[in-house]
Amino acid sequence: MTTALKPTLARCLWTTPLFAVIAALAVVIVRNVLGMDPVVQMSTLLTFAYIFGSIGFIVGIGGFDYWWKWIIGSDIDPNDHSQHGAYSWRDYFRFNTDHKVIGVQYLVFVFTMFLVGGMFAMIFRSELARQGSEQVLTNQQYNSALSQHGAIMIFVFMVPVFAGIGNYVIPLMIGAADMAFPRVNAISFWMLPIAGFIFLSSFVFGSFDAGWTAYPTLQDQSPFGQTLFQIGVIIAGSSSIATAVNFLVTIVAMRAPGMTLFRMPLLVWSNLATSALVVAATPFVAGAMFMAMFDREMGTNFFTTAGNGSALAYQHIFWFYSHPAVYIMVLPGFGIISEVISTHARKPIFGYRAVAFSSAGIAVLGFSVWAHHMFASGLESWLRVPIMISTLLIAVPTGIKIFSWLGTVWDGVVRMTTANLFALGFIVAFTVGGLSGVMLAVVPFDVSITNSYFVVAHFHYVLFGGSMLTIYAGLYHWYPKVTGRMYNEKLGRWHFWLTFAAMNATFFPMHYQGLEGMPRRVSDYAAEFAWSNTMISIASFVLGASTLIMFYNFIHSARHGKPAGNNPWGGLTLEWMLSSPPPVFNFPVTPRVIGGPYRFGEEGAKHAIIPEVEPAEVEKVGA
Amino acid sequence: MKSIKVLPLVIVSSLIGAVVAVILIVTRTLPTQASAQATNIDNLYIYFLAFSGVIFGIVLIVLLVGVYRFRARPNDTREGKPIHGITWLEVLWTTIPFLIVVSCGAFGWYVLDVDDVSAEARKDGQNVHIVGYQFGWKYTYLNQEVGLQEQDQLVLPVNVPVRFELTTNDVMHAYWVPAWRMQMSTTPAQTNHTSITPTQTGEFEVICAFLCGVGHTGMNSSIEGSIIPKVRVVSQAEFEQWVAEQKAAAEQSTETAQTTDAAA
Amino acid sequence: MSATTPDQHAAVPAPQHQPYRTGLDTNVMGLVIFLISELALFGAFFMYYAYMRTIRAVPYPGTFDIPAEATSINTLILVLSSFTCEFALLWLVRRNHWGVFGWLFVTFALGAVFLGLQVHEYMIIGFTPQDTAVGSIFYALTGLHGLHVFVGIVLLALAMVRAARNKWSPEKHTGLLAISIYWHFVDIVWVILFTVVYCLPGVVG
Ligand code: HEA
Ligand code: HEA
Ligand code: CUA
Ligand SMILES: [Cu+2]
Repeated sequence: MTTALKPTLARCLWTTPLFAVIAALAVVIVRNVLGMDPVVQMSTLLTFAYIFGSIGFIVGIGGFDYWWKWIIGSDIDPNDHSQHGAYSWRDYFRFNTDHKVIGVQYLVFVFTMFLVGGMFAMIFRSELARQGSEQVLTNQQYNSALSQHGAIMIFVFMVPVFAGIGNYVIPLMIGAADMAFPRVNAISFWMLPIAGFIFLSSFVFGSFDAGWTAYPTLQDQSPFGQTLFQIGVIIAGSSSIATAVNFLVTIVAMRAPGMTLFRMPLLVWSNLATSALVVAATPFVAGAMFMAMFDREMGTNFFTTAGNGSALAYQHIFWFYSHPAVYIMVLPGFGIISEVISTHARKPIFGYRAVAFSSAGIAVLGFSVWAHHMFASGLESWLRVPIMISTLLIAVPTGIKIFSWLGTVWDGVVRMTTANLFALGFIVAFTVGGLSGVMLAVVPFDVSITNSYFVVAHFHYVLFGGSMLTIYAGLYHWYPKVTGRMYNEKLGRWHFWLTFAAMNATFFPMHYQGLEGMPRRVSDYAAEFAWSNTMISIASFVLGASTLIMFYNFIHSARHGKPAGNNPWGGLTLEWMLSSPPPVFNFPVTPRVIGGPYRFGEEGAKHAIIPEVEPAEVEKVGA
Repeated sequence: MKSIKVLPLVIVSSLIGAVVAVILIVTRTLPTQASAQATNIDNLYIYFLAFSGVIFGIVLIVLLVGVYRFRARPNDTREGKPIHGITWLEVLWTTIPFLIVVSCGAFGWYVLDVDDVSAEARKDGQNVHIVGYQFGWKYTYLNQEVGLQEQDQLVLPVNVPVRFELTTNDVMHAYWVPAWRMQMSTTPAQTNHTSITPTQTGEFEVICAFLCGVGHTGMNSSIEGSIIPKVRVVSQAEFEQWVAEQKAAAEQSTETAQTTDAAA
Repeated sequence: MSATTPDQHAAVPAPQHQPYRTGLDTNVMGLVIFLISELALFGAFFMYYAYMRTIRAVPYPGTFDIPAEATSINTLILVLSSFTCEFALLWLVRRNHWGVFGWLFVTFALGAVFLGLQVHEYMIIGFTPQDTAVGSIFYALTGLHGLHVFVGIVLLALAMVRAARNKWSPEKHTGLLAISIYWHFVDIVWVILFTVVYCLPGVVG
């Protein structure tokens, strides 16, 4: 058949518009039948066009081919692996069910989005560089750039990036051949480019400019782009729910024999906790977005003042997702740090069970603290103190992790690889962010500086100093496994020191700005903040430039790096027992797990063995 | 190389941390304390800096020393000690942070409680109704003897507890006076409350802290060329005088209005 | 994809995921977890409803009483359909695929009737989604559930197609099982919704 019919990006080129147009026509017809006027109501029309266009894209890329065959009952081979694995670069640009390929697809895509989101930061930082309003951006554009920055960084970078790393590593770590639902896995990846496209395409319709939190009733005043923000968030959310279900089933049901719960690497543990969070929390943001969208497009009154709606209700629902979301954005990072530190310090993780359980503790507590974002929003006053207490308590399990990592370093043999540098840098930076978080948790202090740059400083220390550094650590740690080649250590060190220095130079002064009275989300400020903002902007450009080093390093080393071998770091977990990159179907036979994952320092200790098999047996397994 | 004992190190590092904390505390740069509440909140902040400095010191120093002391030599094949945990240590670093955060909570709750002067304000203080709009504020004095409507500037007598009712007819704003350490949002479809006791006369910046549209940046009296009047705190006498003036002005305008009606 | 792929596959043995440590059926497990998150989605709307009716004490728009009696018929229909759905599985055990088809059809029909009555209710109820927050959430909750019923009957239709082509067997019928579980879920949610939205307002304000 011609490429236009095969499940390829080429096919999307016509399925997407087709679905969009059909949806649009349907809307017009329905409105006509019901005698609504105007019959052609642009925003409603576009809303449906976008939603069904997205479905059209998934259809085009081939997401539903298999199930379609299954439904109409035509014969399908349950283990037909034609869509599995990458044999040429082209296979990375099609619907691919191989968790390793999907992992790479995730990482490449979300990091392009990171560049975009970062560029927005660079743009509005250059507006803030000098005092005076509307030098680079109009206030309108400033709000748009700011909202895009927040939305992109959170919804299409920080949340999915861990799904990407997990996708590549988790099945290998637990000795599975793939995720539980490879096709669902592929679909949930392909949803992300859609979400990213929707966010950016909103610029055609005036973008969205109510911040990444998009509170009503301000968002009712925004141009149509705001609706696209809501659609984008819903799609990105569905994607992460699907991935989370996938992870949960994979981790619970597909571990290799002998992989008891307490033999699981800690990354698997934290991914388990995170996935549980996603499944239970993400629907709430979808709900909030739906209601807000109906308010905008259907004139409902969920959050409007006129119709007895409550703007505060939106905040409750939104933060009931978005606080757990911040742990969704850091728990997998904790897991990565545990892997990296114990491997590069050649020492078992200190207090394995405590670290494992603290993830669960954080996940559970995470649901009881959402309202700490609303202390000054007119929150029901009886909620203040309970929320303050529960928020403060979260410091305890997090502390257990931090101290356990220190205990892991102690008495180890610490190798200063780039991965480890990032891990250690993370410990320091995250502690700073966490401590400012604890301050914000205390109601009277929070209401004295909320919505100021102090908050901006807090969440960049936990998001950049926290999550971002863990991601870097993970990338440098598994880069040899993914590409089969070593990255350039020298450049890696440069990347770390530049990023770490620039990060602190960028975000630390923000604490002071906030305390002295600089509100967030403004494009101009009082004279007293002039010089500090100039410094921050310069530092932020350095921070941006420093990331380029990593991109150069990775792209260059992928070709010219020296071969890595199976196990450059001497790790014990399963992925290091395979060739790098691992074979298309991971393990020739299911491995047997015989011990804990971090048995460093024990003579000839092993985490698992891959039993030798006769070729005949291989065939049998393969059939 | 001589081995390093953990406990002494922790003590030393916490001392270093304490020094850091002291530096942070003395070099803290906060707006003037123009309200009774500000003092309490700043004490809270000092307490935060104190334990945060110590905790940070411990984490940083232990990390640095550990990394230096146990660094791997070039092509070093040794492995670390197979220690999987030390229970008493883990108990320790669970309980101590727990105690610290509980103390934070207690202190915070206490401050929250004493800072709330709304009862006094209701009894014999000022009561002001603030409406946030795109892009500015309107003040209505609820006390009978003052009874001014829709003022553009907030003027208050010093050392008199004030209770604010905040609301809005358009979008969310947040009424922030850093010098008072006071912020409260004007949330659509509801009325929020907060209270304060100004203890310093003078003019103070008032800032809209919540994104409220294109004019959000300008809704800040500290911005150059901003049309938002600063908050003014004056002595009781000056306040009464000001009230009289405002009333006179108001009558003037109404009279002129009437005369124009008559002329018509 | 590149033409060389198939023979490369022949070269590489493609192992099954077996043996797992746990003999759990991954499909059913995945479905159940997904339904939990569906429940959370309804939860968001229920929480909004509860918040507005209790803490905000917003009344129902206008003077009107929700047709709890009329709707209880609807409830019965849906509960009934849950059983007929199970019968399909019983007939499957008897390897009578037309019986399966029949029961699926009955379930499908009941679901369709339910939707019809729901729409009819919208027409007589006397307020629109635009009438106050409570009007909005009423339509949102019932509408969201209605959407699930709709998806349910589509799935049932598909199951019927496979049944007609005798593609279900007592050995391999995970799909059918999944659809029935989903249908029960939709049923349970309705029962909750019925008590909260239709019965309680009679009790509290
Ligand atoms: C990765 C993301 C992430 C993480 C991990 C956290 C972690 C925490 N956050 Fe943060 N937060 C955000 C992302 C994150 N936050 C974002 C994005 C916002 C702004 C949203 C917006 O408005 O745009 C925000 C805003 C925010 C607020 C609202 C501020 C406001 O708007 O007024 C509050 C208030 O309580 C808060 C508190 C906390 C606390 C207590 C933690 C705790 O989990 C921190 C725990 C960690 C430690 C405490 C350090 C390590 C512990 C030790 C070394 C042990 C010893 C420590 C003690 C004894 C204290 N955060
Ligand atoms: C994962 C989360 C994440 C990350 C990584 C970042 C990264 C950065 N953020 Fe982000 N930020 C948020 C999440 C994040 N932010 C959120 C949620 C908000 C709140 C939004 C809201 O209020 O609604 C926010 C708001 C926010 C503000 C407050 C704006 C305001 O309130 O008015 C500022 C101000 O400085 C800022 C700055 C930066 C900078 C300089 C970076 C840098 O780290 C970026 C560095 C990366 C790059 C620059 C891209 C890669 C480099 C290139 C493309 C090279 C070319 C560029 C140059 C050489 C200049 N961010
Ligand atoms: Cu008003 Cu910001
Ligand atoms: Cu939070």
